Amino acid sequence: MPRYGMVIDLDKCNQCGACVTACKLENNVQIVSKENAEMGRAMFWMKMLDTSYEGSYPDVRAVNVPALCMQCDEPSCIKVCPVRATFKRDDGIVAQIYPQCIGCRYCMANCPYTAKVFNWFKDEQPVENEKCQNIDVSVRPKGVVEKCTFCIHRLQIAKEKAKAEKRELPEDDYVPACVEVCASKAIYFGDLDDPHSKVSKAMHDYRKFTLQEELGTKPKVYYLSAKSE
Amino acid sequence: MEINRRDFMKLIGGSLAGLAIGGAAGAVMKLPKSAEPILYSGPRIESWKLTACTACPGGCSLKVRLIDNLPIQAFGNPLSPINEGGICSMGLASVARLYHPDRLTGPMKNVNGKFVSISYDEAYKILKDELGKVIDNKKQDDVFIAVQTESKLRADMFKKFSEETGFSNLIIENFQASGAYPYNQVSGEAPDFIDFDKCDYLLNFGSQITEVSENPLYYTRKIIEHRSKGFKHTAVQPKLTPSISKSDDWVPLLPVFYADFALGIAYVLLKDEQYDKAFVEKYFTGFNDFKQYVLDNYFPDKVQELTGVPSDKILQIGRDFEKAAAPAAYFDETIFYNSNGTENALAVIALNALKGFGGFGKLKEEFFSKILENEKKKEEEITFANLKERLSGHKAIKALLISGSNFVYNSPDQAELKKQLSEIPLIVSFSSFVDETSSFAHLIIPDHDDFEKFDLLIDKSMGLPSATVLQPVVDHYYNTIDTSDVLISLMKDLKSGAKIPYDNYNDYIKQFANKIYSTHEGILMDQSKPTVIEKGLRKIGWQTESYSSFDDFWDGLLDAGGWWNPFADKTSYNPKIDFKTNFGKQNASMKKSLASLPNKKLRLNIFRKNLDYKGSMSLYPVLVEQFGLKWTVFYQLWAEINPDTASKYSLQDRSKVVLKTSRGKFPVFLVYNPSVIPGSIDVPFGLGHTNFGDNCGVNPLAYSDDLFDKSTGMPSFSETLVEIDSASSGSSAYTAQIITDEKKLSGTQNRSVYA
Amino acid sequence: MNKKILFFTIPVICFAIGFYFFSKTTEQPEEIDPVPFSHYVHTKEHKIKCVNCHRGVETQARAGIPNIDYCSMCHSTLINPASKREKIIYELVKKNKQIPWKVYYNLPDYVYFSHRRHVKLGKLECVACHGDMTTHDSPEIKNFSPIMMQFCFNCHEQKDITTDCGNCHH
Repeated sequence: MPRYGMVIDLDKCNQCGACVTACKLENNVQIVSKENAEMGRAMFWMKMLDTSYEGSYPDVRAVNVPALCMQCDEPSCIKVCPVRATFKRDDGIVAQIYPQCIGCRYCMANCPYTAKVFNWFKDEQPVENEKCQNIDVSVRPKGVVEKCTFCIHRLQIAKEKAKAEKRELPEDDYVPACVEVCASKAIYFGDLDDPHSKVSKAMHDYRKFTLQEELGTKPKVYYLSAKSE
Repeated sequence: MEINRRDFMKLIGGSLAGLAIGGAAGAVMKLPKSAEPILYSGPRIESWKLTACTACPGGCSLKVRLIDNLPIQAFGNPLSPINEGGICSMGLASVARLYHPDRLTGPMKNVNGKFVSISYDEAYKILKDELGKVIDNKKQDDVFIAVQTESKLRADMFKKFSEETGFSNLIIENFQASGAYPYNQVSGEAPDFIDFDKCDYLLNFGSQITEVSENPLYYTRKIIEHRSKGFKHTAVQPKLTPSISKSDDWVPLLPVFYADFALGIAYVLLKDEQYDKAFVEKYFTGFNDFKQYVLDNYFPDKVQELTGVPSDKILQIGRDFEKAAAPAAYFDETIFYNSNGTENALAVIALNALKGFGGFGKLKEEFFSKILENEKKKEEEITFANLKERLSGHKAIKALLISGSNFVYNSPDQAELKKQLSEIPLIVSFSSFVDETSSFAHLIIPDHDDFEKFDLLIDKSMGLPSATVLQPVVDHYYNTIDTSDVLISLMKDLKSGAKIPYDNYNDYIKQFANKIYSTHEGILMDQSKPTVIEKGLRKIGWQTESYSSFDDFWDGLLDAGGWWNPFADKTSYNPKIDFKTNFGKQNASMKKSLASLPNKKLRLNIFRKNLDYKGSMSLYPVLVEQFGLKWTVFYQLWAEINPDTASKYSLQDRSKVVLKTSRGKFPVFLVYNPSVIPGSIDVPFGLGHTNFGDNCGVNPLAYSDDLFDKSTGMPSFSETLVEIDSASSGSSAYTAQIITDEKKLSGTQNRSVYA
Repeated sequence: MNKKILFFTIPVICFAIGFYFFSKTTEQPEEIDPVPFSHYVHTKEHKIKCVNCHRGVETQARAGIPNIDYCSMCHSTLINPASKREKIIYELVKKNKQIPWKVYYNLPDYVYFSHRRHVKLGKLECVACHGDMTTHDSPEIKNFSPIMMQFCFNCHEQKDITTDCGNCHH
């Protein structure tokens, strides 16, 4: 079984934010109203953590980290879900099943990366965005938790297509939306267990680190940065 | 039967439980309406089409995903050499513009302040008659045409129109042309591209090169690629933008001081005698005066006093520049967003000339410039400065045609402009929306959306000629018409006997493509990148593919999404420079006040984010929501301030503050940012539309001073002084200020998504 | 005894009232298919196979229902002039108007079902889920198989196919 993971090269990232927009448009994440946004309910599956500015003026540099669900190998969110709406699949993707979710938000409280967002209300979406919703992804109702799924709908369609054409699933057929749109090709994605995949080769880099390693969640999203954290 | 209290309670409890369970069971049987997919009953057949993005001057190639022939999403075309599959947020969001509810469905006429739908024939007749009258009275000089387009062929069509009809006051605002403008002033020709194969040092004056520039994704790739080969990039900008993440060094400097800084670097080169003496002798007229002037006035300590950049930094950058084999000091249109923009540009050109323009290149064959007709002399170029002069002067304008430009939003003197515009007897706009500028139009003939029209986007910034195809992904929904087609009909009707060898814009594009075809060079974009061996073979004359006829080539071109010539020869840029040195005298008092900051004032530095290009972001709710994501600020204007400055004025982080300028007060949400130049307050540009898309926030340019670059008329973004209005700060007064401002700013046609 | 009856009937009545009112507010109007399409005529008499009209069955997630361009391949002339039903379709073909089909197999948005996977890869016959449509002479309002997860699960468990939630719910 493949084990899907991601490596983000922060030295190549040009902080354009295209991955944020691509994820939002690909997965029909709702655009919240002004009041809800001010209450901190803005919904972004992939966000850019502008964590810090290094150095002092004028030798300052911004550290911008694209952060998404880390798809941990030992997720802390699945341990507390009372109804098994979130669980880890065999291929390493932590699934989130919307019809099963009861909206208790224990998983949101447990996630150290604040990767999960909640549908507090269903705000009226702008008409032009409703007309270009992605048909492959469901629109979540009010009261469920959602998070990045490594675009699992793309995986299903790619696997089906490969089987129908009687061939193996090549590496480039299945990439999440954020990986596809990155202009500087800073995000690598693929099977971590396959020694020949691009992402495995990127893992041999000395600059590798993960966020909050000390918690033991074993995230599958690695970062490469030449600067010390 | 007797019921005691306990039984009664049980009964009530049971009934309520029954009611609740029954209700819940009934209600869950149905899906909520928002969960219904839009293409519910269709077969959902997926198809892909290639087109190009026009959101910024980059012109990246897109592949659009259509479901049942309706465009749903856009991604980058992986086979295009320009973006290689990458795309930015603006391109991703642009598909929604097709379905925008505010899009005009057909020609509109302004009847007593309201826009009324009319037929195209009626609108065309009005336009033809009015312009015909002007031509008959020989008053063509009283008509202005303001065009903002990133497509050179479309600009060319307007030039042809202006030539045929005699309406010589044609303003073309094109990003690449603006960057070339100062070069044309001093030498008559501009460099075509930065030659990354030779260039090893890039000194970037103010350009947000990896965000919004001539070719942002290409530059990003090249900078990453060449960094490992010893390429260095130093950025001189007033703000730490994402472009700086791709640079090795950042010099925080306000744009008004660029000329002084550039000449300070030139001093280092001249003093060390490490400039390109051969080039200077051959091509630089007036060099000795220039040398004397710089050596007298720009030694590093003096520059430090003027600009605030430490003198050892100037020395370090100067030494890097002189040691580099082929350095390039780069600027683009953004250098004009300052009142001494032209002076800055000329100083940078002079700096380049000292090293022989080593980092730049020109296409050897002059392929496209020979093909594009009507390349008239650039010194006579009409710009917005001329329009402003005319509007405020005594000679009135009879008619104003506007295409693609929202200059009212992009100007500080909005109140005056609005008054002046309402005095013009005929304003015709070709915009698809009623924005701040087209709301003054008497007649609107909306253009097709960019996903519904044909065009070829020519690009030279890669060092190779390339033409990306813009083609319709859907038939046009509404009663719109391509502006170029209107111009062609007008030319035929207004000038009898005009020789126009094409019936519509589509034919014009085809004729241009025919010229490309007849050179028998280059490849289509869907063919793989050629190897070195193939390059050599082609030089001998071997071709991998050939098209039997032009129609074959045209079909192939539309399928592939574009054409490029990876084998084009390059040559170096060796212009004859003729300089008249009068640097430094402009803006002396402004520089002084910005450097020394009188009396509790801060510098207002308006910056552009990569989600917005000249105010278009407001159309896309996805981008408006993401605008302030970095600071977790949504749907309001924020301001960034250095913590040291903030403590001096006792301002808290994440507090609500009201800023006051000579034009009024506006509220901002203040955040701490240690990378802001001390004494400045950085405010983003892009919010605060009054009748275009979503209105939230404030347009900070509307509160800026009336300062413009003299030759191009572009507004100044960073020369206004503000002060904190402590009386109005604090939450209740701040909220009251927001409400008053939003009421003032809300127009009649805006739509608020968030009711 | 009376008390017991009372205590039983009143909650039941309340349940019924609640159910009725809440389902009224969320009810979708039931329409009968306006075009009286006969599967019997097309499959038994004219020997058209399922896949000839529902063309997406082996290549797409959705099987699809033919649109007017497809029907006009045969119905641009009157095949059986005596048939009243055929006149309806003939009129629509002449005016080039789309047939207002009513979708009965209403799959909810949160489920992903791919016909290609089940028919082409799983080698499932159409009759397994849709029943024998060749005997239907007019559009049926009821579905042969309930759109319920249990129905899918029965088959998946029997044939030992993966029942991972993430494969269908995303």
